Amino acid sequence: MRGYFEFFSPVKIVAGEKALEHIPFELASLGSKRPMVITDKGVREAGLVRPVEAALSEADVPVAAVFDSVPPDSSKTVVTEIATVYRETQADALIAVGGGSVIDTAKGVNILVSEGGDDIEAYSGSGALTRKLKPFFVIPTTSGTGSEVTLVAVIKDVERGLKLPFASSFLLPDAAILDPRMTLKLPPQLTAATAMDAMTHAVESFISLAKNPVSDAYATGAIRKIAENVVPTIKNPSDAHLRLELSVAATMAGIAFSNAMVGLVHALGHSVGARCHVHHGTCMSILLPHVLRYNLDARRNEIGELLLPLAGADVYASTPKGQRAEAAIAALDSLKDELHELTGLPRSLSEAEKVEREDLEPIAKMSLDDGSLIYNAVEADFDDALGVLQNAW
Amino acid sequence: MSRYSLQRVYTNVMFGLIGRLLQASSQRDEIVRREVAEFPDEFVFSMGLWPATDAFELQKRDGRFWWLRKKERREPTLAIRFKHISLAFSVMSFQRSTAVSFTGDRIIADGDVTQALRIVRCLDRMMAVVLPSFIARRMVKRMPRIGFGDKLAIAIRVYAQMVANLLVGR
Repeated sequence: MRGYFEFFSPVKIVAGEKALEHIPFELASLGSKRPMVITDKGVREAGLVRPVEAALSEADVPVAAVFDSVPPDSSKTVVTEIATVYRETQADALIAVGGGSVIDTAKGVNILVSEGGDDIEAYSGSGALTRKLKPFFVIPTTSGTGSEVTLVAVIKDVERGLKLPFASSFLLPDAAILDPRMTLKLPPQLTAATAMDAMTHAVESFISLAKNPVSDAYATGAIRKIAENVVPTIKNPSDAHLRLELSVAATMAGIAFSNAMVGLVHALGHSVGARCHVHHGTCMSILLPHVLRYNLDARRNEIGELLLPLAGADVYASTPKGQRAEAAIAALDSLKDELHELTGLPRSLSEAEKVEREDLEPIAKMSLDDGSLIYNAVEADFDDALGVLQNAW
Repeated sequence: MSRYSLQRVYTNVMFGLIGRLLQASSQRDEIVRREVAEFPDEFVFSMGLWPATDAFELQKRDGRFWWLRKKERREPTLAIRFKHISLAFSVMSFQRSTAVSFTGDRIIADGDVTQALRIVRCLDRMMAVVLPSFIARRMVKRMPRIGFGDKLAIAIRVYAQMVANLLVGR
């Protein structure tokens, strides 16, 4: 263990059957009477806002407004637009229903409606926020990003082509509502990709330079839940219990990486996504075993310990200590193969069909500037990053 | 005299040395020069103690770092500050690496993350080259792939440039 660590996770987790029906009570406990819902078209068309509205109306909580036009990438202008609606409708709380983009957008809106003004950029970076914001609940509709428990948001300035980062503990939601109804309709490949995104959060936080005993507990718990439940969920997509297990795992992985950070998989994956527009979870799934092999010498013990949550006690006990790291990586490879067979989730960059070989060098170069890299246990320069990408090709 | 007075004196001297060596590396080490070239012009980097006791400021102009005298100092684009003198001392006395301090929440990096990473890479490279290998190994994640002769040659050039900069007062 490192000689010192910090851990912070104040988000209330409201999880399980009929979790949505707890929202009115949770709002009231924060003195809120008129929430605004932020979502996107896809989520609304999938009928996922209706049960939220129903839960609120049954308890006589009026919805101030539903904004359902969040774009796939959170944008500065949309944040300003939603903040205007919030003020005009005299809302007093925010409920985000959606994935990473919706949640990041809602975090941005919360800054403007709490701090005032129309220019979100004034609060960019870390340390700009110094007090509690408006009551803010997040209802994730995927089981992967962990954004419901992270203190960061990225909002795009489309006109200038910039990504504005925001980091503050005040961006953390007051509660994350995990209700299995929200992920029941997630298509098989997206279920697999988002689960592997969460798996990567947990694994990378467990081998990160910033790992600590508390984040480790969340990470191993998340890994076990994903390893045990992702394939059964894909085979039984309407099983609410299995869906909930993945949602809880994604949130636990989010808590782990929010405190211990991620490493080279994310540094490379962010660059693959930015250049070639491969789905983030798919990138994570493809790259994870290759980066573990790259980190093997420096993190053999930690990777070996992952065999227990990945493969179970019998396999762990019957594998000699010196072979557990390789066995853990093999277990991830097997999981990738199984998910490919069941859902078509790409196993390599070439299978993803959006990445050309000539993209690899620019991706490697771009990844060296990614903030995740410093948390990777092993130094990675251009040649190293390129080597991992070529292995993943 | 407080229990931290000696640490403060030592750390201030080392901050100054690191700033000067980083400046000279941006002039004499091709790897650092290439990294520094990527910073925008007028970029100002400072290093010191939280909340705002910056030991030095370097400004990027003409593809290299320039030392800013006290009267020339301005709001830094990127500030790396240790949360306490004892935490700075543990790095300056080569007990703890920059990366471990960074990832272990001992340091506050105020500014763009990409630029902070680039500075950490510059510092790591500079330390790996100018410090004896047995010390440098404790300070960086991985020693650069560089032969002893090349390391010595670059170190001599960097130290000589630092002395020249000090003599001309820049």
